[in-house]
Amino acid sequence: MAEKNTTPILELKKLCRYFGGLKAVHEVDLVLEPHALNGLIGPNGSGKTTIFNVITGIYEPSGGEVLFEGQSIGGLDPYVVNQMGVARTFQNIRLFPNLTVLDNVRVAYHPYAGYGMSDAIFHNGKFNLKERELTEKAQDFLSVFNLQDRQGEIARNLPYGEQRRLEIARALASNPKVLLLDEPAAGMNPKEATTLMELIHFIRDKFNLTVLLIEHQMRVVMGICEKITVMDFGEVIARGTAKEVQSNKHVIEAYLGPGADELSKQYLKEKAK
Amino acid sequence: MKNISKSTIVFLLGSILLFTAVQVLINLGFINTFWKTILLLAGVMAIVSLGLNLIYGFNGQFSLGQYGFYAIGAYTAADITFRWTQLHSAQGLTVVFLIALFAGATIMVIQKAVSKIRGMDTLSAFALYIVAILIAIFAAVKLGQLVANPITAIFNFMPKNIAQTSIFLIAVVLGGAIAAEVSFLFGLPVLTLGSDYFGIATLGFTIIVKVLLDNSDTMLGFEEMKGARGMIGIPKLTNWIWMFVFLFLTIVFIRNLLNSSYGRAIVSIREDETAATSMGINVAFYKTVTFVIGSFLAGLAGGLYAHVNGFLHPNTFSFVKSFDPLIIVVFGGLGSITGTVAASFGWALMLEGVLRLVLPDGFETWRYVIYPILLLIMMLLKPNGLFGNFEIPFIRAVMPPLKKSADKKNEEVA
Repeated sequence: MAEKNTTPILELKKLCRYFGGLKAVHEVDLVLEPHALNGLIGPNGSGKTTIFNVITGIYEPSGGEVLFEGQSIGGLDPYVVNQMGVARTFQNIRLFPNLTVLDNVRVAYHPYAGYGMSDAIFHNGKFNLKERELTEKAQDFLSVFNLQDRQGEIARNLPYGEQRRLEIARALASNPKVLLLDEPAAGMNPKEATTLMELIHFIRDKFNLTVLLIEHQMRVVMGICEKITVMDFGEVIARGTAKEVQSNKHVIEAYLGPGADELSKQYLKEKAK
Repeated sequence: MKNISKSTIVFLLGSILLFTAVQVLINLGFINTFWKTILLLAGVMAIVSLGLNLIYGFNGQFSLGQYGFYAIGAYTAADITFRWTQLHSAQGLTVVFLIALFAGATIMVIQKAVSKIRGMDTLSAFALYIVAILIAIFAAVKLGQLVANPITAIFNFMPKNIAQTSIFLIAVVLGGAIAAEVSFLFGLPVLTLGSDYFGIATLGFTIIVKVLLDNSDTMLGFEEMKGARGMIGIPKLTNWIWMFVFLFLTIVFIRNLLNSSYGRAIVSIREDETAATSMGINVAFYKTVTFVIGSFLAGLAGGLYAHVNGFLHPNTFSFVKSFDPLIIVVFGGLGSITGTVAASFGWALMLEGVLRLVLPDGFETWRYVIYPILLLIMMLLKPNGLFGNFEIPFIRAVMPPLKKSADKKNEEVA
């Protein structure tokens, strides 16, 4: 296969993260090919968000490696990881609540502002030029998410769905190569979730991104992700396409309890009759 | 293309008008020395509080150390002008200037070097800074004593007024610079603390500074500071002109900083530190920058304050007093430049001016009863401060016009 020859854009090698005696993440391997759209699922507390936190540098790994484009990024400061090209959203939305919608996006574009602090203090010509460019760029990102009319509003006053979209817009403004989405469809109804999934597909193609998403809504994950990794108690228990994962014995047991595999087979048989 | 917005013109005209009006009133004698001093104190307080508002209101770092830096600026500037007017020597100026220069250069060099070393812990970096800066200060003092005499000669060559004013201005700026450098060193280990712990640590700093000043004649060896007896003989050089110029520059400086990408980075840290760092904002760097700028303004204000009364006493910088700028910032509205300036003038005019005159003889100290009651009432009625988030149009960030999006494709997706 041609895919196998390309170097993965993000790779976890035997990644561990322990909190005292708790093995939140234990020897997890994960490979993200460029331009992939993969899912990470698992019951609550299985260590999905911890993996995101380790990748983005909020936690240091207890063991193993995080490779971004072949370079080890484990233990770097979060802002360095972000500037290298990994952006994320948060499970419980973390916007800058008292800033305007536009400023939320402009903050993320800050490392590419292109003017120094002295330019800012004197508000000189360079400042005006670059600031206008920056603002237009931010407005472009907003219009992708259909938030352009909301630019002057305070972020915390936005409805929930728009806050979610704004968070993704902000992550995109930081110019990433890999986008990590932590439960983007949480709290959305099925219809909203579907449009969100279409949007994720769209931005992946438009901005040439690699996307890894955590999601609980199975409809969403199964419908959109090319490859799915399933975690339970900090370890990977299954990986493959949606079909493969759905019929995996370990996955069913992780979600529904031991013995559930047999029961579900019986149920399906009865239903078939 | 040069187009100056309407709000800028209004602001400039308004400031000029205010400045001339007050200056004319002073010249005509309508504003007597008592009220003039209060105006100057209000201006000083406005600059200190603007510095604190930058640190606390915009960057979210709860700091009680503002008065420590204020004291450092005051005594530094006072020492320079004292040596000029009383001892007729520019030695203080030369030495302090070289210290500020050398220490600043050392900080920059070491910062470049340290940023390249991955995984250097804060304390060893701190130790490195301290050692290097002590060496730099030693070199600066030695060199300063060498070149002091020729520099004194240069200033003696100038007309007396000009020499004095220029030394005063340099002294005030140097006060700010020294305060900024100290704040950088102090902030290095302390800024890693969470907000409440940071508050306690900065409070400790204020107390340390006060104790050092109490013993400045014996412990630090600056005999002219006279320790707990209070420093006298500082020329009263702060007048309405310089006060206004410094306040005006401070306001424009903070406004320009905050309405830029750097300002947004600073504010984003207040809003959500984790989100900010995940969005590529170097949180530690911007916290330090904000803290240093805020302390610079405190030092600057200290320098101006020293030359208002011509008298400095360590009790002015006690930790109880260090709550004053905090109260002003909260009173005027956290994160409001307009509110801070208005509250500073309101605070000085009310507390030191009106209440002192209104209250009958022997009851002047009762203003410390009335003033907390006013604070209580205000907090109950307007918990966001007098001005909340309000800014005058000049300071307010301009919302850019909507961009007409050409592609309709996005709408069907979103």
